[in-house]
Amino acid sequence: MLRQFDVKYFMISVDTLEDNTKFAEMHEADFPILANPEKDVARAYGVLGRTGFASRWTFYIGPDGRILDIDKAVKTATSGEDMVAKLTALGVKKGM
Amino acid sequence: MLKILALGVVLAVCAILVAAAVSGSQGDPLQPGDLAPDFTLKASDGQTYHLADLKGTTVVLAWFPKAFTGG
Repeated sequence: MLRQFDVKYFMISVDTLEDNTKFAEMHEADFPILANPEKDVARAYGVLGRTGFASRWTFYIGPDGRILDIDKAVKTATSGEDMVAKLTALGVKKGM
Repeated sequence: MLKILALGVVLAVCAILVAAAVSGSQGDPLQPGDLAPDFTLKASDGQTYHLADLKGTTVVLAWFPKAFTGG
């Protein structure tokens, strides 16, 4: 669904690389799943919750490295469609 | 009396410092328009990604709580 846009998509959590790699294989993910077990990046993005896990937030980062939008109400059931709508609303260019 | 007051002030300051530390103090929340914090992280595809290297491209970074859990 996101392939129509000129974007680089990542999922990311504070799980270990091993766990995220197995998770990616299990779901045949065709995108990279980043691992941040040190939780420093999670802290920097403000997503680290009191439980020690990341909040389900999606950051849209523009070509200039600045944050375009932060979705703090991600619905897993419709996340794909919602991302397409968001990218369209943000005017992100479509790929060739 | 003054000693009790001084002790109270010291305890209050300590409580505030502990609360700040416990809260995780992640700084001011990020807002649209802010520079996204840079990172260099390994990924499930065997690659290492450095956000700064992706300048010129729109990046979608979807944080999730835990692998192998529902959703």
